[in-house]
Amino acid sequence: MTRHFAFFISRSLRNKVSRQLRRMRSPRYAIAALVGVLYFVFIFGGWRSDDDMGGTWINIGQMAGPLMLALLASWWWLWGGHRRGLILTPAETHLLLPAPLTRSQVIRFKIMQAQPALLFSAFFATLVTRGTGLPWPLRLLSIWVLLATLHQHQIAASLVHASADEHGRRGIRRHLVPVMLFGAAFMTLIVSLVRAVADVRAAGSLSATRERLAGLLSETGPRIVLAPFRVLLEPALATSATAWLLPFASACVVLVLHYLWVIRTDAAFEESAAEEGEKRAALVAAMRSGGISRLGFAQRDRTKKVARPWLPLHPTGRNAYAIFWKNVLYTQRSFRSARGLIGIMVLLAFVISLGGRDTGGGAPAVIGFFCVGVVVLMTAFGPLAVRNDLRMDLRHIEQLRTYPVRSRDLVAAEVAAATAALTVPQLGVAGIGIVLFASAGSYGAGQAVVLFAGAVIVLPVVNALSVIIQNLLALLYPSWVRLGEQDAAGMEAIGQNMIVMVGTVLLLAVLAIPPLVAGAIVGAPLSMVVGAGAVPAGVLAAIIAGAAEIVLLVLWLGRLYDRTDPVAAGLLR
Amino acid sequence: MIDVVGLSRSYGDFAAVRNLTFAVQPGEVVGLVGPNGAGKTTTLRCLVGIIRPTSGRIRIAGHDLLAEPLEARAALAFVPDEPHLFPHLTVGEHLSFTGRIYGIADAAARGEALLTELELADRRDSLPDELSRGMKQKLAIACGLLHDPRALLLDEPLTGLDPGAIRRMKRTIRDRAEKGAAVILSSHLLGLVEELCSRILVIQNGEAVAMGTLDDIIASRPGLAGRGLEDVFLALTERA
Repeated sequence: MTRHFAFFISRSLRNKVSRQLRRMRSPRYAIAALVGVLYFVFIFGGWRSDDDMGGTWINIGQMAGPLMLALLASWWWLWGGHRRGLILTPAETHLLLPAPLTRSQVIRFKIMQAQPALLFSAFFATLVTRGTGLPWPLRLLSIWVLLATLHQHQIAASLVHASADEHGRRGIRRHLVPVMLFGAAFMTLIVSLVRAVADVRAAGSLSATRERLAGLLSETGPRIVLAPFRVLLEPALATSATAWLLPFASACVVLVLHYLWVIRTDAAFEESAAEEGEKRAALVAAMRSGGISRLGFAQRDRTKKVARPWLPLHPTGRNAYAIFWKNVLYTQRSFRSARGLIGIMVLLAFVISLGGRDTGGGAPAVIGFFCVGVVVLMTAFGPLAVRNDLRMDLRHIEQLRTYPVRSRDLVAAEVAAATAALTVPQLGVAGIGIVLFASAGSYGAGQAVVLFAGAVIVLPVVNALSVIIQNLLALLYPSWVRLGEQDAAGMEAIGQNMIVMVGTVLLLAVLAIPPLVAGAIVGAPLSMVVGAGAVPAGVLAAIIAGAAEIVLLVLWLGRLYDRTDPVAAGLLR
Repeated sequence: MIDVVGLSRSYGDFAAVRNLTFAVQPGEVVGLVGPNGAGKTTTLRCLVGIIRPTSGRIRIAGHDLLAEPLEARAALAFVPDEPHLFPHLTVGEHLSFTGRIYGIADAAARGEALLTELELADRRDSLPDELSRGMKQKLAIACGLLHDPRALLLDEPLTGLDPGAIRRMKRTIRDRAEKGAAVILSSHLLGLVEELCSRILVIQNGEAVAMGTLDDIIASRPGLAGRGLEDVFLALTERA
């Protein structure tokens, strides 16, 4: 059977690679692949000295590596991460489960199937961790053993959970031992980390912080918890072949034990693996077609009733409003992780506060800075992530084209929906930041109002221009922008993303020229008379020029949408 | 109601549809049949404005599809073989959305009637991924019928429907035609075509190889006398 599995896996790999190579005949994929390779060479090529980076990687690996692996394992055992250990794709469910294969054969197949990806990851990590002194083939081998053991450990967690689900109360008892063990280990680490946070603040310098953290993690409790993970990491962090040999042998023993564990565990994993596979297939399709927002929608809790729309929809009125309403509703129902977002913001604010004691103004100013950072990031990357516009709707072109909606109105509604989805939270964060700065005494209430009013005027225009650029690229070069369920992968996907990002920046720079010129023409002469008072007039002129650009671009996009041939663009077959 | 003159559509050197000319009158159901890759879907997509013809003229309810696209589209409905539903809109919201798109003042009442007719009333608050394939198809049909189209184009409309729904769908198609709609029905289910359609357009390699009632087609080919549509279809398309 192993031979058959090997044939299946090698043939799948070969077909995948040959399909990607065949795509290189098309210049757009060839150029994208070339850009991807250049990017890869630039990032991992010889632009940094080996020695410097090698030492850094060893330090990071020794201190943070075991901790990260322990937290990862805790996630698998305690917080549902085990579900990703054994996943059967819909095709595997239909082909493998009805076949005369034992459970251990299916598990062996999944382990074998994972090896090319694990080897690729190990190769990638070997490139990144150059200069540790250990010859690269030994480092590659060590990292592969580490990844393979982790993979099998996750499968083991998955099987133990499946067995618990299968055996009811008896299963819960079986399940209790590893869960309690990992729970205790996790608590030990968390207690150490909480203690470390207080000490880190007092440490003063980075090296003192590192030493303090290392000291805390080498205390009895954390040391025992982290010991198995250190065994796995040790060969990869060895600095010479002689220092590598014994730790590598130990790591191999751990790997073999894991293999025997998973192969001999007879748990009915099929149902959960198939279910997880279906979920994953839906998520992948969601990510490919709609980005982060669609991912959120796909991950929603299906047992909950869908929320009522925020916006009303009357049966009569401008029909393009229905498109706007639909896309806003999409954002509303995709925005699932408000708590997660708030958690990240609080965490980041906390992290910043650790090093931000000298910023003046205390915590409000620190969080205010953080808010400004979030607004800047949302302005820069938001238009790439928020895709409730043509990038999402072009998949429905077969439906949209039959609607009696003027093309320019449709485009305007699409752009307006994405702009609103981006601008409203941005203004919320900007508002919090402005209030916090005001409360920290950075400026008065009047200035705060002026600043917020400025944000209300400027952000929608900037966002709309950015969103228009994304939609323009989607219409002009649908193959370059992720639409529908295209399966760009590997170097060409990296290259495509790079090209789209560079194209976006260049177009935004070009589009910024008319507003800047308009602002300068109005503001410069006025400044000679009223000084700084000319700034609002200049900004207003720039905004008007930007708004005019938006109108012209929407009209142009409408014509482009009309002319787009869905078959030639690959939107329809 | 649906007038097509010299419709052609090419992709590079490949001619997907070649010089099609036909008309569908109000109250008429025309069956569009042909083997896989014959150009049926391309023809339908051209007729509803999804893709532009390379040449030719299409008029829907008296409006030229290229010159007056909004008026022409307002009069037609297209139900594709694969239902295109918006994943985040519930069944009821799909109908509200469609109602606003076509400006139907009594969309709520019409929507309710359609949901009841198509047995979707208890799934009003369901999202598309909670529906079966057949229910999705019914919803796509409901959205298509909401604005009472004068030209109805259906591409494999019965895919995924259960026997009861198929019977109701056939009745719905007949009812719409009796009320004056011009219907084009593309399907591989030749029994369905034979049962519902007053005329048949057979296409092969993008060209019309036969057009008329089954009797007309048989009369023009004496060798097919006494045969059913399936035999006629195979004889026409295999020969071509």
